[in-house]
Amino acid sequence: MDGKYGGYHTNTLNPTCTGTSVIAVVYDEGVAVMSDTVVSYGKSARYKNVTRQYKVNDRVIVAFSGDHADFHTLQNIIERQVSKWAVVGQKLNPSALYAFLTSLMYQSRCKMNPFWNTLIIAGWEDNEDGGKPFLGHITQKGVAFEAKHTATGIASHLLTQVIEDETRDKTALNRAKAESILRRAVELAIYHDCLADNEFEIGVVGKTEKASVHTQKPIIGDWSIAETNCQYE
Amino acid sequence: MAAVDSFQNGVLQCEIEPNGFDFSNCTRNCALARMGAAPPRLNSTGTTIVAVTYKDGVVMGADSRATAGNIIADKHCEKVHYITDSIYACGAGTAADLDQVTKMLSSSLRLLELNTGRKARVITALRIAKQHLFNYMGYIGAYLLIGGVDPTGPYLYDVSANGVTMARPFAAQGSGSYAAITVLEKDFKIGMTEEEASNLVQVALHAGMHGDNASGNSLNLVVITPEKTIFRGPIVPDFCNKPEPIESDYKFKTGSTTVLKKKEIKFDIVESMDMH
Amino acid sequence: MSFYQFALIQMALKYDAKHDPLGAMRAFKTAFADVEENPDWRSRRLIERQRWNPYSMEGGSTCAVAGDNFVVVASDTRMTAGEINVINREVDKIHPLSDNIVLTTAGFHGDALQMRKLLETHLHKYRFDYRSNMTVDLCAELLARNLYYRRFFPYYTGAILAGIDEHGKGAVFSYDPIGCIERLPYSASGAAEPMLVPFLDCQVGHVTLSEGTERPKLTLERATALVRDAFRGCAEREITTGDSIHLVIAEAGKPIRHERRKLRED
Repeated sequence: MDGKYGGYHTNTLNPTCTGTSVIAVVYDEGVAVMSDTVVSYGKSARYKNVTRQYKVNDRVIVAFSGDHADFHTLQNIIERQVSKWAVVGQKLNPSALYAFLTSLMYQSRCKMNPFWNTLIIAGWEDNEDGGKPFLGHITQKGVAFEAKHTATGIASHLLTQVIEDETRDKTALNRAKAESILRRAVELAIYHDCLADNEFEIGVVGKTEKASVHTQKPIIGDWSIAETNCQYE
Repeated sequence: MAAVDSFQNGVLQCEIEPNGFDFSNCTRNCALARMGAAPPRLNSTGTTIVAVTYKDGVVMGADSRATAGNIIADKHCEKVHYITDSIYACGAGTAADLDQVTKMLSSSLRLLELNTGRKARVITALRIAKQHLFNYMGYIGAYLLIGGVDPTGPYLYDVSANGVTMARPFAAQGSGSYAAITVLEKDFKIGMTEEEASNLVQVALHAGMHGDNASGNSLNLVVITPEKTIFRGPIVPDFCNKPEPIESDYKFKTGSTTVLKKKEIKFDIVESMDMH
Repeated sequence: MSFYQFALIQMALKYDAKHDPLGAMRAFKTAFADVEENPDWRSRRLIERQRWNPYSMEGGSTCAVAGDNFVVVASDTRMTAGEINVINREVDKIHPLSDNIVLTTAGFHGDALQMRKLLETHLHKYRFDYRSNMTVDLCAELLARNLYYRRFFPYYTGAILAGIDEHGKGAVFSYDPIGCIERLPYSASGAAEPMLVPFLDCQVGHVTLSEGTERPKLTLERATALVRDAFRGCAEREITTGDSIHLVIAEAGKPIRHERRKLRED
């Protein structure tokens, strides 16, 4: 085996500068993705105002949680893929990128040198019957699935159920409603995720909207509960 | 022979010795594990438990699933434990530890009530629990929500196995606590009515039971007010029902099983119990 | 090989309970002394355990039943992270590979996806090279070899390959993760395998019925009903199985049919 440490792998198997959860919801004519903009170094909030959503082209956004450096590498790889497609005059569509990244993540896992990221691919898939929204989720180990709504990291524990309840049985979930669900999600995330921040972005890609990422007004939340916390027992 | 005697003595000593656990098998078990023996599996209540304080009382609730690994060991497990008439505890963690800890709390508080002639306070239950748990450094896997009403008001405390405790207006514990606590954060308000509070507890439990594999089946609630304690349950939410019944009939005809051997045993009826 | 595994093998070599019963006691004494010297809580074992695990289990179960001219494949559709958290309720674990071959998987979903992609590629290439569809027997052998190819870094999937063979009969092939292949009348895999198999043994295999007893014929209706009931039963007692049943029915000379039924969601 490689390395001088007695047969241990010397691949980086732990992340350094990380981002926490990403949450995404499909609405009637597109997909909305939420991620906050803080970079954590361990438990410290190391850098602020760093985006975690990468606009690939007009139709695709890739958002990630996990290691920033690993994602930069991925971004580079995606860029190369985009220009490959551009050579034959094609635009990369979300499902193609999803399949590509799934294989890529799986391959690096097999080499025991994983990309420490969970990826969310949001996009608008053009087809003959007018197109459809696309939302894919890929984990570090190459487990991939498509969904109507999804969350990564600790938000997958905290928020999937609330979001499922919000989106269930609602035939027409429009962009405004989707974004308001995501804003609420940020508020609920900051209460229980110590790496989450209240400064965040929402990326939107849809039938009529070209892919774009918007910085949002920070959410303060309701901290009146804190007053009940003077306690002796 | 002397060695055997002292060994037996040691075993007996442990059985007779009244205080604390017996750790004498620790090294042996480690040795057996190193020889490849699998350790026994513990029943653990991967759980959702939720409690909320409201204007003048406390509402506590729990799901009713106990799991052993990925198998549901008990569908109707009671996780809301009685401590005193106006103090209850919801438990998550190792089933056996929870049973014993809550029994211990219940009996010591009853003794206290008899000795003092007053209703026990919630803080007393908390203190006994946390001191006991802290003594065992987290090895007693009991995560409790202790709630109740005493003459000084309604209280809710969150107790971890290692002895950390917190007073809280609302709390959730167990593997489904992530899903449940988000619902609580979303909809909790200070000074709710009893109905609002019990609805909120139910919705939070639903979230836990729905999103968490280790929680489900049905929920139990206890509403504690200064006047009375009402127990409600089991309540089965819609998504915990079988959407479609079993469609075939699985009755075996007589003679389906091969008879290998027959033996007649004559007996007299000495006593019979009337079952009707 | 890790230090711990090495130590274990050393320990195991020291005795053989059958030939040397006292050896067991000696080995125990050695292990005992060893524990006293280096207790678990000070060993490298804890560090070992924290190493990155390339596998993750997504739970769920699948099964397949073969009949005279049909095969029924079923799975649940729940995806779970870390045995506990439900992350998706509508995942397809059954992959129809062609008009007469269906692959179904449980276990590590990343490997399942890769395996599907691999088989699809091979099937495509076969179609291109030979201008005909691969038979299920051939595909089954192909899968076995691909699984064995990764003998020391296995595809962690309880794969079942089902389909209609050249004679128009239903076929079910069951695999272990490293490519042991077996053609069976019915099979199950995944988290609820220990519950599904005895049920199918009893109802399809009729292993408990005595010689002369009449055995109901395995029609398509009976097979689908049994499989649905099997999953309803599993959803009652196995925590990672639930949400809905996905049934894929392949009949000789007919296109593949899909059927979805609800299951409990808790």
